[in-house]
Amino acid sequence: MSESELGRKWDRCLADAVVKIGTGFGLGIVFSLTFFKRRMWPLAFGSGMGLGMAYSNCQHDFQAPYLLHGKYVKEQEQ
Amino acid sequence: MVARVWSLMSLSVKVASSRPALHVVKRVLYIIEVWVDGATGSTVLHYRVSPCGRFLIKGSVAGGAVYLVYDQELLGPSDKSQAALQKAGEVVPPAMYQFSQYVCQQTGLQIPQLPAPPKIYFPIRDSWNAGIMTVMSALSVAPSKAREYSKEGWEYVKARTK
Repeated sequence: MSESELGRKWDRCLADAVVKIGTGFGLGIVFSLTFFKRRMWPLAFGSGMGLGMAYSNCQHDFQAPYLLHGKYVKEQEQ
Repeated sequence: MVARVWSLMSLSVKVASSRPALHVVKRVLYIIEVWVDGATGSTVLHYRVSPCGRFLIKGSVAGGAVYLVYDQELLGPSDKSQAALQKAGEVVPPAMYQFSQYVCQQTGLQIPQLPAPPKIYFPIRDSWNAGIMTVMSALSVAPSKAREYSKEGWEYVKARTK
């Protein structure tokens, strides 16, 4: 993996993390105001969900060149 | 006729618990109600939102937010999120500028023009790489340099003690 490609992946990861954490936080605000009587836990839950999804995406992105994709092939009966 | 239509259309929402956003709506409706009463002298109908209606409103707001997130693919792959962030960066500043201009026109206020922020160019990656290379080269020559300096010091001490 070249340095420029690595830099692009880091940029994508950071942008993805910002968007996902913000989206989770926003959804947490909406649900907190509508259904959960302005409690704080939906905000924390939404932000945590967004952070976890961003981390998972980043992990998959960085491991992508080294992941081997296999498939099952049925043995043909002779 | 107009007064009767206004009296039928005007609503007074009674909220059980005080909430800031609904407080503002309640205040605005009260102002409209007082204006209509003052202009026409007619009575106003009071309408209470049922729990079912309240749940439907909340459900529609929450469902709309969830659908917006799904439609814009904000919780999808990372390249879609990056594109959405880029698009927001292009759309939001002109929209904020237009909104501030509209507010200035409506209210008559004038927002002072702030000076442009200084453009600072600081390549973090280059500085970090240069720092790492400097530290590693210093560590690699450290044993030979230490030997050289200790030898020079020993020669100096020998010359002084003669």
